[in-house]
Amino acid sequence: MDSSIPKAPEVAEKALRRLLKRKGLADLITQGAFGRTAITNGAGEVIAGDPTGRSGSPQTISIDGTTIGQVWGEHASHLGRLLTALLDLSLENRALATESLDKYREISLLYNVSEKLLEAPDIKDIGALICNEAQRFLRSDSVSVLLLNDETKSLELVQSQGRPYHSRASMEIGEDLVGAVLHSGKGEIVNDVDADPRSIQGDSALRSIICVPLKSKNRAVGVVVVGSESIRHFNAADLQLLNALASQAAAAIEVARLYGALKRTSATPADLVYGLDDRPPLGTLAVLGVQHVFIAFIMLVVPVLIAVEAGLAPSQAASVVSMSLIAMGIVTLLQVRRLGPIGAGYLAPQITSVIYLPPLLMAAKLGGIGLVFGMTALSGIAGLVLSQIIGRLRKLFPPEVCGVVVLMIGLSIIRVALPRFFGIEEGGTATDREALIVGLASLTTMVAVTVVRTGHVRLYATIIGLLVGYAAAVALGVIDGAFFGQVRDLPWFGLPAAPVLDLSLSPVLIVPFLIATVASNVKIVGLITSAQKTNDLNWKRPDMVSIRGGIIADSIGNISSGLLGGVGTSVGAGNIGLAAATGATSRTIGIVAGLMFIVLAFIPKLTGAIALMPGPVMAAGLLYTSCFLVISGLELIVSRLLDSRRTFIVGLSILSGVGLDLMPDAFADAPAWAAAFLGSPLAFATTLAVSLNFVLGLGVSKKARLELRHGTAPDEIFRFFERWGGAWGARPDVIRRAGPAAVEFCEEIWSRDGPAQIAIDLAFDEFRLSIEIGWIAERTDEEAGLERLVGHVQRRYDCRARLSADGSSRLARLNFEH
Amino acid sequence: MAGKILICDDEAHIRRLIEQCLEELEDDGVEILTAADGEEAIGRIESHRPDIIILDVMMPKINGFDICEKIKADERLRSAFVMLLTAKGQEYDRLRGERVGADRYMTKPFDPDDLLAVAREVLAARS
Repeated sequence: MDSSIPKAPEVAEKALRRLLKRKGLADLITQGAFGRTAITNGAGEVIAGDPTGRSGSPQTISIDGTTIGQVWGEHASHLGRLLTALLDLSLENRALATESLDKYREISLLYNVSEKLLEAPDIKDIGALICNEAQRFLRSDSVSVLLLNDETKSLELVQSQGRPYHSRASMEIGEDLVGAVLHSGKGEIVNDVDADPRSIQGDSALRSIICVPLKSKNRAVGVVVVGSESIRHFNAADLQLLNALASQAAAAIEVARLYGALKRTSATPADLVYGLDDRPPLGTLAVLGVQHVFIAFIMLVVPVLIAVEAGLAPSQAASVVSMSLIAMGIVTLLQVRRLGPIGAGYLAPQITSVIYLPPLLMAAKLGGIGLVFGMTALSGIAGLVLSQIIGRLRKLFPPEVCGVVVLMIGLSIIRVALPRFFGIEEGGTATDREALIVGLASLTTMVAVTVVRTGHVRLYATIIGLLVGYAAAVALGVIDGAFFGQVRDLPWFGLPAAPVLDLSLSPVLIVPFLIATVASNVKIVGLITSAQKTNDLNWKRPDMVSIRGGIIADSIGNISSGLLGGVGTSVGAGNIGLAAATGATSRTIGIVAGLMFIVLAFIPKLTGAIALMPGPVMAAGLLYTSCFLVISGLELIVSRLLDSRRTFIVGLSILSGVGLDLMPDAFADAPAWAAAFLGSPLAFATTLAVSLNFVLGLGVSKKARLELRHGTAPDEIFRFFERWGGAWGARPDVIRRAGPAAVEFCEEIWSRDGPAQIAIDLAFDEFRLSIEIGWIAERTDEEAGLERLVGHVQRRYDCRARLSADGSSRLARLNFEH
Repeated sequence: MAGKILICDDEAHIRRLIEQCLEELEDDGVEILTAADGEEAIGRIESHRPDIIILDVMMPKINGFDICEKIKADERLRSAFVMLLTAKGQEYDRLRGERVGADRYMTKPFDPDDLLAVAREVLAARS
């Protein structure tokens, strides 16, 4: 493959020397079969025979007219002609052998490359492999792998070795050699770039170039450029070899792309239609904004309910709704960009949240609306503090504990919602049939529209349900006739009624509000993480700066909401879901939605109508929401492996919460300080879950070791993984991948290294499960089998694997994202 | 550099190929010997005591494993560096190669450059 021109005389001289050493011939010469004779090389040095036999006229040994040596002595003429013939034969033989050796080398290269390509996990690795092999076999200064980007119609440098063909990361497809190869789909050799009429792009200093296409399905998707800074003679064999390499690589790239696409589609529900920085057209923008507003609408039940519970007049209730809307708008706008420490940087519409409903209701009952506002502002301040320690909170609030909190919030809604659903007056027991019909009509509509999927109509389920509820309430007289009059008298545009702002605080409510704040923030962590995943195809782990920014923005929202006279808000789960499902995550949508929230606050007709929401309709909205809360709570709980310890943490907490709800007076004579914990089922269940998790979690090591002897049944390894996965509350799917990966490794080790003793070390934190498999290798060569296994395990079990060696001890590290 | 390398393969073209691949060692004074079957191989090993023995596994009369086992069991011969060559993908062969004490195991198509590098290394270490 070396394309430098062979220096024929030297090769021929070496062949002559070799020939003269051949046993039969050497013996003949030394035994004097040709008399006293000397053989000299081209330079006149004696290389065989008797140095003193250099006499008379010599016979020249020449190949293709070049003198290789001379034969002296009495039989010089015979021996010379014989040697010439033999040398000719031997050179011919050698040429054939060299050619087949080259072919063999080529076969070996392609064989190895195809094997390695199968294990190269991504396009960059494939690129690196091509560079390595091409450089090794063509002995060139420079190899570049360029791939076509179909969107930008430019060529991007994937990988290079030596001086790249082009110094920038991407280049236009021009009229140069690379462009020509891309268009024709045929490889080309240019041995002298300066003599070629086509230019080569940019600042490349390459003088000789081979360029071949990377072809997939008959279309060139990129090129491999091999070059040299000095003039070289690349030949047809080089081109052929590079072509063979490129065609295998192209197939591997195609597979890697498909695999990447597959991974992406499974990671995000839909391809992004509008990315973070895209600007959808105005019409689309308006529709998307309205959808986000409608999803948020149902949650306005919370401020209305709180206002009603606090005994506010409808006009004041409308003000609470308006102020909450303004707070929602402000935070939604804050969330779309990161301004210093504030904001998540994503489309994360902020809506009034049911999470705050239980403590807000307590506040409304205990101290009226002033306490509601005061505690809301205080929860914002608590949020600011929590934002700084949110990473550590994950330990106190693992998913199953969060699940208990969310489930209990869902369950606690029953107590507020059901009396209104049945139209039962406070202190009474009689069901109001008309109210029940209104509630049922509203709830049934919401559920029916949601379940019967008809495209985007689904998004309007709650709005339609609310309207049906209002209509039924008017028809059945659940709202008195004055409703229309009152709404009619309200202006279309105007400032919201001034709120009653006598803020107050109560120490008894600190714990319930703190729990709600933590729950809200934990929820925000999850939602912003999923917003990150939707937007970042290479998402690896949560971006804590963005999460912290999101919580800070949310906290500022709560502080301003409390000070303005509104209730607490949180990132809307439905909105994040909508963004992922529609593939529209543009920041502009967030800005539009935020502005819409604020504008709505200045439409008194609307806020007034919302404030007059009939009890059964409110109840329908709450029950609808509660279904989602209960289910997401349960999902959180079962998202991790539960061992017996965790079963009791979850079980006891839920039982106690529900129990306290059934027997509210159980702790009637508890001391005042304990009222904060015992006053509400939610606070009680949460406190219990957190403390049980803490107490029962003490002494659970985050590391575990299993030592294995040859022939241990795979079951034992699986059990080890299940046991510790349960103890740590790891995700079942991660454990189900990690166990078999370890088993495969052990089996390979035993088949390689005989009865090696293997130690498996597991370590777990919330982000990662790492496995270290250590053993003493019997064989220290032939690591290829293990490397292959590493590649296979990475691909099959979706983890990062690495192999390291120290003397004869080997360590395989497998990392699973958690 | 001095030394002897014995190439044992029943296929003449593979022998020639390996010879060609080791040609530059020959220029440095290394002697290259060949054998076309197991018996011939054993004869050459005993008479020439090569430093490196490249053994094809599948050979008539006595196969590569048996030859390797024989070499490694013999006090006088065991210092020879034995390379076993076999067709790709016969995993069982690899294990067997380990058991009979081969110093190196290569699968065909082997990389000629690799073969040359190993031979050079072994000879350099011995001289």
